Amino acid sequence: MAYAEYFLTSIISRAPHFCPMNINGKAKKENQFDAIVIGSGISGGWAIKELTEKGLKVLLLERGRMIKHGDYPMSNLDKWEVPNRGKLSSEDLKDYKIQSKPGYNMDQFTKDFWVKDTEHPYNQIKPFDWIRGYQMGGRSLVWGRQTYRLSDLDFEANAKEGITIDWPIRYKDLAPWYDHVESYIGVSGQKEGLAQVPDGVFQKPMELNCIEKHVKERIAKNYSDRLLTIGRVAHITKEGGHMGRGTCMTRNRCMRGCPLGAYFSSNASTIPAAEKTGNLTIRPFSIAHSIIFDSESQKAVGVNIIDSENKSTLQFYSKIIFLNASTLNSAAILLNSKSSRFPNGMGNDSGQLGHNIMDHHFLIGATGRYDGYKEMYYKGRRPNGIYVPRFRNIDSRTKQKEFLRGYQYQGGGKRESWWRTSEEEKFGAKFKDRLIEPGDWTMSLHGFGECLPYHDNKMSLNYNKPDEWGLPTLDLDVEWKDNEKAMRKDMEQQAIEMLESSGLKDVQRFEFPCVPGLGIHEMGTARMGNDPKHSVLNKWNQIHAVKNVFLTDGSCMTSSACQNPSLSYMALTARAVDHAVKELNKRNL
Amino acid sequence: MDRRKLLKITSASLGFALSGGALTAFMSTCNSDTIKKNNNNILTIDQLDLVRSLSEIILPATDSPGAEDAKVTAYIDLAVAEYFSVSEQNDFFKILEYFNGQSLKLFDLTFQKISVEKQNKVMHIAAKEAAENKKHPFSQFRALVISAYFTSELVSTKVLNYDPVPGPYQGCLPIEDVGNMNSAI
Repeated sequence: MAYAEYFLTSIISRAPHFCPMNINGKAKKENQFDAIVIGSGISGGWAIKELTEKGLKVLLLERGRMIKHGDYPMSNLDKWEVPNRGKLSSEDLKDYKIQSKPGYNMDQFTKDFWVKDTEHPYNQIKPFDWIRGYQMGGRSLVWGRQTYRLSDLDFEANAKEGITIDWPIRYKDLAPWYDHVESYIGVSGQKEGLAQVPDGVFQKPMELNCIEKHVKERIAKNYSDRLLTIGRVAHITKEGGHMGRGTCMTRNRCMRGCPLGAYFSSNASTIPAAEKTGNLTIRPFSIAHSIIFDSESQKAVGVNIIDSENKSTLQFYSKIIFLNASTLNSAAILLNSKSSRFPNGMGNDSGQLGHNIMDHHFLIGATGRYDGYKEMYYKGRRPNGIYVPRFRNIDSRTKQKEFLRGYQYQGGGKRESWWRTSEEEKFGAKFKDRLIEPGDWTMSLHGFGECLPYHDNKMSLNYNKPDEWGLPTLDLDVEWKDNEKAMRKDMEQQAIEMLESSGLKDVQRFEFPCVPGLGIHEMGTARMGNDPKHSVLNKWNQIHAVKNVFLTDGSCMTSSACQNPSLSYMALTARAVDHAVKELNKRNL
Repeated sequence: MDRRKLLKITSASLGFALSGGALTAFMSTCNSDTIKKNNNNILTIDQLDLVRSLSEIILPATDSPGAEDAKVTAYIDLAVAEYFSVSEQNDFFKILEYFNGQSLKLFDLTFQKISVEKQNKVMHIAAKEAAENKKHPFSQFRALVISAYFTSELVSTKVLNYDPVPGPYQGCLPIEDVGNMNSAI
């Protein structure tokens, strides 16, 4: 019987085959662990750190290659030391048609931290830019480091508005874990005392530059319902460093990997912490195929993996499993974990697994220029921007007729560089001499909006189009709907108004094609909820029906808020590990 | 020169509209000996010369280095050979043809054969014709020269403010305290 169950996942002959396992003592000792963590990204890194520090023997399965902190060959090179002065050529781009779409993320220095689309295809039922990094550390090596807490405005929204289901937690449940994570990773930010985006444990805030201070002051004068502040960012600004990592030197070469360890990544922080305990085993090149379910005990007992290099199949066993393979991959692994108990994928009693995909929509706002501060400039290349916290639909006074939820602004100011060509002279001595000096001050406000959870925004496994490892590729069927579109009108309008009322000239709207996925904040495929009929996970991130499996990456999010989500993934992970270990000690798992 | 490079140049040449003996003469030589001697990658001697003239008019040496000081021509030659696709190379050669075409139209001579004053006139007219059109040959060539100039080691380290490890960000201070505009990283 058990044998047949495993072959449910091997529908076509090219799919990997797993030998039926015997959990009664014959499993090899070296394949047995207290916990398995699937994925070494921003949440997986926290899972291994917390688990190993609590004494558990942990196996980390990472599908990509090993990258040790410091192993960043591009981090100190200059443009003239790399091909094409750092730009990707048309030939390079052939492998990165989708991965290069965000723009800011891909150049000669960073391309090796992103997957090749040619090697990792998927199927766009509707347009979706799935941006991925498959290596040790995952996208924690290349993330934007923007770090904001969710609040009860976010946690209560679904319930108050009658949209899908309520979060099973509130801010007070997560607050101590936000403290715990922020204290450890080091977050630079400015306290503002706002209920909708709670203050955190902050190191020194980074400075605003001339035009940003100017706009901040004008906004404070012209508006009573909003403010502009510096971004909250996972960079160390404390002098002398923090937790063995160095202070940020504002090189802004972050996405190449930082030898100083000054911005937070799993590689610089949580993976070394876990290694230090002596309790961690790392296995790179390990693609999780499915979670092994034992029908007798009704528990998960391990993970089937495929070695990505030689395509061999192996099993590893553990008491608990943390599935942190990122939103779409974690759901895919569960969907692929079929059994007679779970014909539609492990934990999918509710039918919600793979549904409710959300992302943040952005790429809309305004820019303007300022005729002043001509003698002033800035030192350093700040790896951070400004932040305008959400001010819409906060309370009855700010309630909007056209849309629910809200948005934030990121962006910033700078002096125009040699890209500019709107000069009177078109070439020659005067032209060159002017280009060598800084141009006008410009400022941009870039809106970042919440997406509602819609059941129809979904993924499914396509067994007719397997990848090179025989795994089904993903069909992604996601679109922005009315609320998102209505919100974007306000995002643009408010940006224009704020810049104009700040005295900027030539204020222009901007909008670039924004396809779901481009925000690189995909979430929601295995949402948390109180009722197993409508959710995949309970309030502790455990699968309702398989309590020894935890999901704490973006898949668990019941709503998206407008805040950058990674901090919440880390806090939820630390909290879930704490619960998992307590439950193990009580012999509940 | 290896056969691959020879093919690239030949197919690029086929993209031209031949318009007179002068133009043919300009495009004719694919002399492997000459090219090897001058360490060229893809541009002929004449083409290198043309790029040099054009670049130096756009970004001349003043108190600060010009395009030639920053080795712009050599870099463009390398970039076109190594990093441009075949169609991008074709587009580049069309740009060079444009400037010679303008020169022939105005002065019946190719760009290299007219005086500096006349060369500047050709550029003025080209710039005016280009206006805000980023796809105009003048705009495209200028963008290439500017990019090659400002990402060069010389300009990045000796003209702009080269600051690989700045330290904590200081948001608003006099330019003199920083030096000059920051070079790109």
